[in-house]
Amino acid sequence: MHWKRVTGGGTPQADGFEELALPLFPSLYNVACWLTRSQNDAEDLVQETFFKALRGFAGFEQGTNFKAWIFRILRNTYLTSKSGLAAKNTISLDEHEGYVEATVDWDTPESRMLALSDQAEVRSAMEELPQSLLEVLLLCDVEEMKYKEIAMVLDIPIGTVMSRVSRARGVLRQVLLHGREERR
Amino acid sequence: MSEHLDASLLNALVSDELSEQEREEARKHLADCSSCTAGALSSAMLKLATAKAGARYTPSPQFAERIARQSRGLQMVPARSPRGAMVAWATAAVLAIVALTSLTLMQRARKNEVAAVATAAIANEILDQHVAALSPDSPLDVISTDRHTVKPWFQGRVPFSFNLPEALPEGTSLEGADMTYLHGRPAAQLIYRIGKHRASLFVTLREAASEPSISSSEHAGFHLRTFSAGPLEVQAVSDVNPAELNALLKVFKDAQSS
Repeated sequence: MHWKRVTGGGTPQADGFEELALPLFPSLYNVACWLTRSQNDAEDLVQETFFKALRGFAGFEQGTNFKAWIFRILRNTYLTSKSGLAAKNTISLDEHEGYVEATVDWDTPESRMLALSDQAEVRSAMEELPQSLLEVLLLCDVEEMKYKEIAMVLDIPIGTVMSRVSRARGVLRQVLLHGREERR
Repeated sequence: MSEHLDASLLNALVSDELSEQEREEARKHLADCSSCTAGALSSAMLKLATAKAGARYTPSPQFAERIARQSRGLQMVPARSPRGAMVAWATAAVLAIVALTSLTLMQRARKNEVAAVATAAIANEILDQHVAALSPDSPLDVISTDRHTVKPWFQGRVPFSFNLPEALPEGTSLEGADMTYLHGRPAAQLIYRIGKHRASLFVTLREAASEPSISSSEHAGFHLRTFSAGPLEVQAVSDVNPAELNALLKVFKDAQSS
């Protein structure tokens, strides 16, 4: 992965930025809301992301993956924001490293019918995920990014993306099953 | 492929991330294995449910408009004032001069406003990055006091090169470095310990048309320094006393010309 700097012109160039960035604005805002859990903080985060992206747009290599580039800026901005630091200090990113997906019994009606859970139930379960698992699900399932793009956004190897997606779905499944059992 | 497919493989299958050969092998296995087929189905349905539930928040039209304006380069479009068709030439001339003056003042104020916002945003970003690097939950990308370890680590990671000083002021040592982004541009963040304090030096490539700069400011109890060294721009932040920070920056700047 490399972001090549374009020589010539030196001031931030807005040409073409609007066309590339604005279609992604609703997605960036949605992910920002999930990460910050606050619409006000999400607005600040998205605004700062656009500010940084516009400033750094001269260094973006045209024809490469703009979506991954601007989502990476959003995530880095979030990580260094007050809410990002607070989240980092309260949640261990690796607290689910020990999770073993093999313990799931696939062949049960519950496992097979989880997707019929209503949206509020799934949203509530997603809110319980640690940030490292939530963000990978948002990028993979909601933003429909390829593992390679997710690796660029999160700055991790593709193999780690693969295992993290698996872990995220496994934990989400367990949270949903647990919630269902509690309601019985 | 007689053993069950592992969870990562099943999830990669539903995410369409397998190679053609892997997909074919998985299909063959699924044809004979009801348990893995149930797993793949469960993952696919969960992916669908997550996609629906995850698309949750919609920005307000006001915020969308603000972002659209920002995307056009932080420029506001001035509203046109109505003019009467029968205005006398003299009045028109006076109005034109007044309008021109007002416009110039407005543009200057707008530029100052944008510059002030930009400066404050950069200062906040530098401070945030510095504080984040000091967090115990955020280990540095490279931890070493050896400049011959730290400098080569950035090869291929940032689109520029820089020197690290061989001799540091007394009580100052290199602790390590992070690859980071500053205002959307790749930056090398070097962490130095000065006594019991720490300092971050952010090295970036100077924007081609920008003038070499040197500035000094205070922000939330931290000292911020900026200077240019050839094609590079260095921004430093620390809460150590300014004299010790300046001593480090002097040797760092000297090293760039050696």
